[in-house]
Amino acid sequence: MNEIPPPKTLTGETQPTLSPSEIRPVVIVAPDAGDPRDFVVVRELDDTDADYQARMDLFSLLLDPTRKG
Amino acid sequence: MSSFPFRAGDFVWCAFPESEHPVKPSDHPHIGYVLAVAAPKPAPGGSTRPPPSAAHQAIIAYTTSQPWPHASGRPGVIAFSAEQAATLGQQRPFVLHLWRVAYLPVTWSWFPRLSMPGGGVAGSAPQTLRRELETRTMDVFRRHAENVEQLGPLRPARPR
Repeated sequence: MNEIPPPKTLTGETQPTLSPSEIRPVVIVAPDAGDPRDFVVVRELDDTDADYQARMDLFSLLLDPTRKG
Repeated sequence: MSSFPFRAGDFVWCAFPESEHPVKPSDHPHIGYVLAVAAPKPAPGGSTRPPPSAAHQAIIAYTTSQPWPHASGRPGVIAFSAEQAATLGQQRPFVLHLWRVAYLPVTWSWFPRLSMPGGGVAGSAPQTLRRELETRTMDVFRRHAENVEQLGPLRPARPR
C-alpha cells in the first residue's frame, strides 16, 4: 500500500504531523464580498432605460426589503 | 468572454442553499430563477457593464418541481404547467417561489455549470413574463418582506 506523503506548505516545507489533541476545528467563513449596497445592476445591451430603471428599483428592494418605495 | 453567462429572467443551474445551511452551496444542483445580476459599482464615468468576475453577485429565486398544493392561492408562488415549463427549458412542471431568495457570488461553487457552454442556463423567460415576475417580486417584498426567506453569503443583514 502506498503511503500518503506528509503535507507540504506553499513554500514546499513539510508540515509537522499533529496528534489528535493538537487538531483544532476549522471555522469556514463565507467569503467577504463587501457590502452588497456597493453593487449596481448589470445593464444588458438590449435594456431600455425603463427596463434598467425597473431592475435597479427591484434590486434596491431586494437588498432592503423594509424599503416600501 | 464579452457577455455575462446569465442575466435577469434566466433559469440557471445553481447550488441553491438549504435553509439549514444558508451560506453553504447545496450538494444538489437546482434550477433557480435569476432576479438580478449585479456588479461592483463602477468608478465615476465607468461602464455599468463590466466584464464578468467573481465579484459579481446574483439574486436567485427558488424553484421546485415538487407538487405545491397551495401554489395558486398564495401571491409570489407561481406554478408553471408542463407545457409552460417546456417553453422555459424545463422538463417538468415546476413552482417558482418568490418567498425564498438567495444572494450568491457568481463563482463556480455556487454555479457549478458556469464554465460549461451556455453557462448553466436552462431557459429564459420572455420579456413579458420577466416583467410580470419583477412586478410580483416587488409586491412580495413590499407587502410581506418579513416572511421572505433570504439565504446565501451575500444576503442583506436584517434590521433589528
